[in-house]
Amino acid sequence: MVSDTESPRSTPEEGEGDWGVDAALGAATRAARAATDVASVVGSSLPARLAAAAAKRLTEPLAKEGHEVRERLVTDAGPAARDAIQRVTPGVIDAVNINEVLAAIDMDALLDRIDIDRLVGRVDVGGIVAKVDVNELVQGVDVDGIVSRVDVAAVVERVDVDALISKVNLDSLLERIDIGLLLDRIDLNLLLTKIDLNELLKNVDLNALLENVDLDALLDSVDMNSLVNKLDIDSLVRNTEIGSLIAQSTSGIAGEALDVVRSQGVGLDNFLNRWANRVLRRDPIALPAGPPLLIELAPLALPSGQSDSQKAQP
Amino acid sequence: MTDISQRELGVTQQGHYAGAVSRLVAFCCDQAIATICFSIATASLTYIIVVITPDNYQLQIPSPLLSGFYVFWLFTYYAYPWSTSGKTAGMAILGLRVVQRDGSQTSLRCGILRTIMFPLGFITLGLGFLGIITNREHQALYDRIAKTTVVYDWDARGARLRFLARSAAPSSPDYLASQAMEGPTEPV
Repeated sequence: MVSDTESPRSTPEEGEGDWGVDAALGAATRAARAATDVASVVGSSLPARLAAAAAKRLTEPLAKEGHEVRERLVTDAGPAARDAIQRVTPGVIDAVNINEVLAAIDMDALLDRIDIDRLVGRVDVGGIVAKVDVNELVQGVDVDGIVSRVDVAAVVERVDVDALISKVNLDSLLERIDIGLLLDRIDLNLLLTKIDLNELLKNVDLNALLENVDLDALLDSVDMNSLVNKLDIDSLVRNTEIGSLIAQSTSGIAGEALDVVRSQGVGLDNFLNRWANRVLRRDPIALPAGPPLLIELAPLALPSGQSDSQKAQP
Repeated sequence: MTDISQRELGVTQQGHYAGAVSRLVAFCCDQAIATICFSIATASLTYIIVVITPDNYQLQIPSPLLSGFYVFWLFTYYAYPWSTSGKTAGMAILGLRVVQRDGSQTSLRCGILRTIMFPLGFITLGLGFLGIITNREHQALYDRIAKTTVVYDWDARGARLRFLARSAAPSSPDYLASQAMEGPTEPV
């Protein structure tokens, strides 16, 4: 809306030299208005209408010729009008102050008159998206800058974690996780150093844990013979109460006497064998220690020292 | 060789060929046991006959018959154990056992044949026993005929544990405290 004060119309002071023309136009206007009033009064009477009909009949050839002239004028006036507009437009643009024009527009009223839904409905969103290079668009985004502006704590506080977790399909998620790769990346030593095992074990119900253990299956999987062979029985007997228990249970005089007699007998046997081997020039290592079946079973009966005894023989 | 080292050596010989000394001692024990048992048996038999017969009947057993009984008793004494368990009473004391050459248990044939051939050692003036010392498998003449041999069979493991237990110091609190101050002991 253009205000009167800012109108580009020339004021009387500005058009001081054209006052004569303006006065003539004003007089003509008033005369035309008066003639129109008179004509309307006269024209509505019956004689006037009869006269108009007669005049229309008499001027029909003239009217036809005038119609042709008007149509020709419209056809021929197009290019001429475009030339005139092209010549005039730059000057008009220079003369128009765009800022003033925009300031004068009531944007609210203008927007109220626009049907946004219809406008959006005419937009080809798919076509626009297809033309957009998303990768280039993403590369141009300063993600760090955006993230640095985000108040993560506030965002997290607004998140309903329970609802979020309830929507997660853990089975599907776990199936997609490569546990082996995950464990390879974990420094277990570092992890274990941070674990307070004492505190952890305090919270473990060992009784309940052991109730769930199938001891029979566990023992079936243990090679007891291999386990017993690894035991240092001699050290066990020497350094524990087992030794004293054995001594108490088998410390009869007869048993001890038998051990002594047998041990002495074996010692004398070996003494005699050594001399026999020396006389007969035999290598005691090359001699069979005993029948094959018994020697193969001997390690089961002898805790240790078999090789030592053989080495002890000269 | 000290007493301890002899014991250590002895308990590691289970299943090995037995030497001459052990076998000789075992034989002596067997002979003593067999003779004592036979004497007790004949004396008992004589006493019973005297008791149950009237007029103080004196039993006179002919020497050949008595010798025959004695030989039969000796045969039974040796043949039965050698055919079954492989060890007589004397061998059990010394921890010896008769086995076949491969180490398997003796059969009835082995036991009887060994018993029958056993006197060959004496008949040959002791030469039949020399194989116990000179033979690679410590076989006497009768062993070679019966295809048997003698091995150590006593509970070496139990004996070793008993020996270790006896040789270990008492486990009193004072002793354990002194052991802890001296440090760990060397395993055997």
